[in-house]
Amino acid sequence: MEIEAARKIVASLLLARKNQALYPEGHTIWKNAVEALHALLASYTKTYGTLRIYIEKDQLLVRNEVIYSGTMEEGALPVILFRDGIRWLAFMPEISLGEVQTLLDIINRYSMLSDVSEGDIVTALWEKKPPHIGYEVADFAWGEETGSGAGSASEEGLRAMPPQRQAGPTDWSPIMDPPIDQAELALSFEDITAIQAMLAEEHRDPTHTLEILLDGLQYREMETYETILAALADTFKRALVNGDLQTVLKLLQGLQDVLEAGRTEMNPGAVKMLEGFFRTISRPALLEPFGKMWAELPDGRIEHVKEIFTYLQPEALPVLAGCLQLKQSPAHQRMLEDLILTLAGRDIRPLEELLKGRDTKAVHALIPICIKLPGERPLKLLMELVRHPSESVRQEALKGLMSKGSVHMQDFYNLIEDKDPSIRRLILKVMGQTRDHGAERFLLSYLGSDSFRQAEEEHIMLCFTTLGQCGSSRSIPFLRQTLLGRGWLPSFQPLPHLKGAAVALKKLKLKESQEVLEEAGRSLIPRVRRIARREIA
Amino acid sequence: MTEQKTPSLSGEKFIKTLSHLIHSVKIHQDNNQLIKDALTELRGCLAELAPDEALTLQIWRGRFHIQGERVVYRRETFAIINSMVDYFSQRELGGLGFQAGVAQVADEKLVRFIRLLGEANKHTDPPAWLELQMEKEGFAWVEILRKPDEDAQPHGEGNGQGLGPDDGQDQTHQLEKASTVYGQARSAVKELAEKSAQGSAGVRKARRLAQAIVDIVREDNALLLGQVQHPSDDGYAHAVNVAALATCLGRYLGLAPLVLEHLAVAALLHDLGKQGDPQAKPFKESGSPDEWEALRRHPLISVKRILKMNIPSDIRAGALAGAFEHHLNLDLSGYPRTTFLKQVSLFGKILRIADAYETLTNRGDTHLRVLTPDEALRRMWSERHKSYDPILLKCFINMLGLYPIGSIVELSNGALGLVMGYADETRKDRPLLTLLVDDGAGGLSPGEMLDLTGTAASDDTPPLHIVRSMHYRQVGIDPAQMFKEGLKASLGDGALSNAIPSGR
Repeated sequence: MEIEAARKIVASLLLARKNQALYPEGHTIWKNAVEALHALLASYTKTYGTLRIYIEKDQLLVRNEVIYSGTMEEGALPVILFRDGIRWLAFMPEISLGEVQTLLDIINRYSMLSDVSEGDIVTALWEKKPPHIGYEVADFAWGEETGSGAGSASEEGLRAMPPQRQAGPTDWSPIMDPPIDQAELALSFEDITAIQAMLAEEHRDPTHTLEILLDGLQYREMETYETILAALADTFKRALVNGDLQTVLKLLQGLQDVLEAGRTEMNPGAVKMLEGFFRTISRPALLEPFGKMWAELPDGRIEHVKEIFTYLQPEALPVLAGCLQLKQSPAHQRMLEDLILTLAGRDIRPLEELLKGRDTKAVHALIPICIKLPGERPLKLLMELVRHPSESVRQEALKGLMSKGSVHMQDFYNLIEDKDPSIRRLILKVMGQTRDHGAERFLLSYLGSDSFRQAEEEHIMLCFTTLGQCGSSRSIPFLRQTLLGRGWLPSFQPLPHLKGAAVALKKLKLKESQEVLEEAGRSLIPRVRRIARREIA
Repeated sequence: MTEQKTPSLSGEKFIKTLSHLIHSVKIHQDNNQLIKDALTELRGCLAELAPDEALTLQIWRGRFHIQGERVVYRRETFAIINSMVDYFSQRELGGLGFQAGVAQVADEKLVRFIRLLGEANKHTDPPAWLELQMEKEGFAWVEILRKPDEDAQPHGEGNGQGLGPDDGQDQTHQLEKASTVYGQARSAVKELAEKSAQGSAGVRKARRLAQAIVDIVREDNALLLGQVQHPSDDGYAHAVNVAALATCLGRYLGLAPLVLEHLAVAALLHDLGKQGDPQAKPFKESGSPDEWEALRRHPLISVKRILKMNIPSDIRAGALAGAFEHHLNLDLSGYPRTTFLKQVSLFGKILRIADAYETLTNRGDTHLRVLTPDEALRRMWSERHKSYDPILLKCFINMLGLYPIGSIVELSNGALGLVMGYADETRKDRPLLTLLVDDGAGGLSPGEMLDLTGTAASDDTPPLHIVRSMHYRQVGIDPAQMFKEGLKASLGDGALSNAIPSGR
């Protein structure tokens, strides 16, 4: 009966384990399975006392009777318990449901064999110490890890070196240190307070290990360097995931100090490794947590971010570009733009890649930064963006080109004759958005050119309209001449030019332009009079 | 096998409140609000612990017992509890008995009692003086308890850790376990060091070893302290000894079991940089400048090897601190050179002390011969402000006694003895000894036990005292083995066995 009851318990344990793996915590099936196991254990221990299950590689035994046997496959209950060196597990009377749950949690958590020693069943049981679950573990020197057999301990153990009476010239005369005054050994109230503070502080400072690692870089042996840098990368990653920006900053500052201080005396290989480290940790995949935390970052920590990115390489730029697209205060926006400017100033390639990418939103957000960047390369990028599939991008790029100033105006204005009508339309639209002498000057010149004469009517009209939008009184003589001719000589301009000049005069919205229109309205030439009057009306 | 008692912290609260009251009364006038608050709290504790009945607070083997049950306390209150043990010991008090209804006693009377308690240590026989004062004041509600005969169980039925009739067997089992763990530990450390030198090591075995060490220390740290006096020339034994010493000190400070485990792992790994590489030249502390430079590098090599191990991050942090800092002084002098480190961690400070003590007593440092344990403590004490954390060193010496377990001493009557522990924790200069007697074959063997606190002067013989200490290499015995034999012998003798102290 007892053995049968034990078999049922093991079956229930296996079922509970399975259900725990299959169903989320708190699920009815999951709960029922654990409760059923607990009920069986409670009943058994009440009737027979403590249940002690002995563990072998592929079977479980109670009172030398096999109560479960299975294959030695990974994850099988006997295997995982045996692997951890557990010789027996005992369930004592009054075991609680919580303890059963704890055991199942532990078994399931550590059931997968792993090379990484993040924990094991024995350690977990040792830590949790469920009061009614006992176990015995094989001595640490036994088992697979030893590989030297049970006899090794006695052969190689501490007792292998029995002390010999010292022969030879050792001077055993007493040392001169004064005796210890016992009164001095009493712990004062201050001592006790200091001990309490030490205990409280232990492991509280997350940067302590970081300080050790940074100091470890003084040992300039390549393998050590590599190992420590790998650990620092890991520290960086963990700190970032935990939102511990202070540690991240301390790490970067420290490494920068090491790099600066040692650049002259360091092994070139070490310098290269350090520089490579900065590039590695600047990869967007690693910096992903920044994107997640940015939106909710309190103002007080924004400065940390700013400092952190000044230590990073331009490879980090896409992360900032991602943040730039989020809704935020103007101050945060400005800070991000400044950071991107700084990084792109060091190497524009990551920015270039983004601007050439498909993420229109990102491109849109980055154009203002590209505009601010000095040099030919940003200009070329803007020129390329003029042909971007998105009209708003094209428009922003054109605006940007316009704002780059007269040095680059010619590049920009040349787009007015672009073979793509949409670009031509757009550039005119942009030019017409503000009154601008440069645009006016260019248009006046262009409207007088031969190529313009051969242009299509729609383009002609648009050009005149734009002149009216961006121009000033300086355009009036040209428009007057176009509409009314010179002196007594009437205009022989084609109809679209006459119409365009009238529209431009109206758009100028100046008293003088209005007067020219009115004069044209009194013209002896019917078509001029008709065109002018249409605009006056 | 594990066991866990449900901790009841009301006893801890009572002692804490009593301590608070004692300190408040020392500083303030009777009518001070802090005193009034403390009295209210004390009454609450009394009502909780012993409603409508008498309450007995006793110290037995350095531990508080209430109503015969050992007081359970958390590590953060360890220091307060410890200071209260000292407070009672200084007054030679075994405890206090409060009659039922003490909670109704007037404030001024309770304060008066506390003031008398405070003054008691100025008198030659504090318990007698206190008894007289209680009588004079008419304080029938309190009873002064003298130090108990520690061969007996504490008052009440109790479940303290005293050695009852069956406890000798348990103690023998524990001793065997400690001995086995200790004996196997060196090969475990060696294996770990070799694997880590090859760049592939896990920490699982080190954790098991650390867990075993912690379990033994929690049971009775004397069982491990009795083993550490042993040659550790190859470094592996050194690591084990340092782990034993550090864990005992951590336990003495009140570190939680899990932190103790981490501390023990840190100690086992602290010298990895010196070990396990068959190609490496041996480190000699008295060697050439190159060898000296290599020696100074070993903490960094340890750091590298720990980083390459598969090790949980929380354990790794402690292990790195221990490896890097165990040759650093409090002011960060020592080695390796530091630029970024702001202060030495608790693990670093503990390992600094344990490592230095182990080196001085078992290997010797650059200039000195190996020292006896008491010489090593004196040397370290003389350097306390420069090299060690003075408070932790104080704790270390308090834990070990002036003549640590395993010390060999010569007595004023010419006899040799091996220190087994301290029967009276307040007399760090008068240990409990196993006398070493001629074994008839030119060697020594353990003889009778002798408690030096009990060797009172008689008319014609002065009390026995220690004349000098000797190193085991001087005498040619294995103190660890002798300790084991002596303890086993004592466990066969119930009366003496009870005098073997349990560690905190």
